[in-house]
Amino acid sequence: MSTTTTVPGGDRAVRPPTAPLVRLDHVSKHFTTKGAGLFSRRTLTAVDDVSLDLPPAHTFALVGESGSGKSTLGRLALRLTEPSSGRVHFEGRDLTAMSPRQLRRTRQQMQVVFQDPLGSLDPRMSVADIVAEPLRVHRGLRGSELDDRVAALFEQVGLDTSRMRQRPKALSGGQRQRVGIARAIALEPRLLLADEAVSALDVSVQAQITNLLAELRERLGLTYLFIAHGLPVVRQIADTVGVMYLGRVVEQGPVDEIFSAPAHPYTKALISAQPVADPTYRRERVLLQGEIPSATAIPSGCRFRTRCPIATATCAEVAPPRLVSSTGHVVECHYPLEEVVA
Amino acid sequence: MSIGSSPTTEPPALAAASHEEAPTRETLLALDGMTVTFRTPAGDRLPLVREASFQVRSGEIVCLVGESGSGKSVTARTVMGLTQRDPAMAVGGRAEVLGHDIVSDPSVTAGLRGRDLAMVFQEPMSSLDPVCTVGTQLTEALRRRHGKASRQAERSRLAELLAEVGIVDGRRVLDTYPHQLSGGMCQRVMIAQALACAPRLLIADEPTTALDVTIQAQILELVDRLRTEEQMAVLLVTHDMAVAAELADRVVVMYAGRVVEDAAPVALFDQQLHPYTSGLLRCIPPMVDERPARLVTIPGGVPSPAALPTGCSFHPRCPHSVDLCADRVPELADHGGRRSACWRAEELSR
Repeated sequence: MSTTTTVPGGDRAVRPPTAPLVRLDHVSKHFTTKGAGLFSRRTLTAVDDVSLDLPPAHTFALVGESGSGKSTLGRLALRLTEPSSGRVHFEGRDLTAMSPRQLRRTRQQMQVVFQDPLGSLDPRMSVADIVAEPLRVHRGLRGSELDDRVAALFEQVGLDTSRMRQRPKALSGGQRQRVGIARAIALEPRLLLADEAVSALDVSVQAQITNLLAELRERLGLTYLFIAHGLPVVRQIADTVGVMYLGRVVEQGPVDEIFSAPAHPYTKALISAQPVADPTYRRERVLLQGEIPSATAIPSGCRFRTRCPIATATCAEVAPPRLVSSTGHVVECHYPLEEVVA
Repeated sequence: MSIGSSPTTEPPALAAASHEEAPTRETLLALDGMTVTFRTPAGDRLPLVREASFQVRSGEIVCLVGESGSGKSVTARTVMGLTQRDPAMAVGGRAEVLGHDIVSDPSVTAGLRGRDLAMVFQEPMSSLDPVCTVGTQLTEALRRRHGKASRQAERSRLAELLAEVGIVDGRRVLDTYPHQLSGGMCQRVMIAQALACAPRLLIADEPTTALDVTIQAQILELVDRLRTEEQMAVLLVTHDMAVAAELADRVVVMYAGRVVEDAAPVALFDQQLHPYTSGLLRCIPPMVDERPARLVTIPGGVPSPAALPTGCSFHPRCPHSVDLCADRVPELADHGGRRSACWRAEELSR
């Protein structure tokens, strides 16, 4: 079904199985926070035993409410945060076992685009210098060679080269995000973490940047780990979607399956909560009660049971099974809404 | 006298008006050619809002949509009497809030706020008092409308209100300070505070933009219910056309400080009479229909008020512009119950 949909780059869904670019192997991250008393400490579980593969030239989107751990998982995948346990492999090599020196070299292959371009660009540097910096530091480029490369990058992200001498403040939000992307692709990385990279932009600019990211992926063979809370953008750009809830990926699968036939009640609720730009559209709305519980007190059994409309006594006692289908659809639920068979 | 042209408009006898009776559509907000101008230190006059005209009636949700720089937030703040506090801002034209002229006397809004008029801002952290507990601030809002009651009754009413905005452990939250809460939580406290006074007119500027969709759905549901059950009037400023599609009775589209289109959502989403509205709708990735290979975009960006194009402000980005568009500003004209400010509206709608 997913293969018939028109998507950028043609049939992205049919791809021979290849070695993953990134592999997370039972990765967890715990933080210690202040408890109620003066010396009491509580453990916050941001990411709880997550294993997943990012195939090369693929877009994996992480969705979920704030506090679901999606940003932490993104940072773990690049080892920007040290995992409490588990391993992270990049191109088959264990990132978690690398020396700082090896890590620095490997990091050139992985870059980040942040949500707030103004906060992530040095306000005192010209945008050309911002884009040139990684090329000077890591590639040792100087003079006209550097200038040519920076100009080419500006062109690649659709930025007018007449803007090169300006400071980030003088640019619009969309242009600043393009600078952030130019800097991120300067070292020809293989992996790009886009953490809410289009979330703060106006719709028309969001469409421009979404198109740019799709275009760069095709042209440069990039792999995206795309973190967003806006579901329409995720549906547009992702190949695979992982739905996070309280530190676990509770459902994961091809984008069309996730959106048209979600198997986890949480995924269904999340999709049904998304407003649709069509006043005649009627849907079955699953209105969730309350909000995501604290990650310091994760519910027993299934972590979603406290808000789940179909939870039973079993859900409070037994952790849900991990069901995997042949299409790579994974769901952790006692009572999946769609049949997921191996 | 009210400037609302609606035949059902009542005289603004505010104190006597009861909204328990059959819903008579009373005009609670009426803008007629309202302008807001900013004077720069260099003495230039920048038009932020240009001749905005629209109305909000009781039991009605009007969504004011547009991108950054369209003037939608300035319009909302002016209606609340807030831009007028800035000496560099000048307000002209006519604007009536709950029957009071706020152009000649912006101070009247101070007496209305917290009773008949409430506002929710985008920045919750700067709108809540950092040295008061959430409970203290909410009690204040509650008393402004309902007077003093027993502490127990007040607390349980406030916990109820917090539950309605999706805060489950309301009683605990009442004893916290804003800095102990997340941004999303503060935003919901703000919304609860605005609703605690049971306003007749709510002005909400991107109230749910920073929230998760699940919480947004709860709050939009609540606003929808208050519109239907309490006849609350709402001016909802949003950049999200999907929110407007779900909630609005009317959608007012602004571009570069001007209202460019105004229509009921079903008509508007079915057919747009302004190319800017069409552009805005086409850039949204579809949630249901087949995905396009590339999203449609509007070339260029929103112009700065310091360098507005001549004629129709949208003409440099418009795929349908003709010579006339660059020469003369199109009026916001009536097209059978809806309005559009486009020279070619009739022609393009055929």
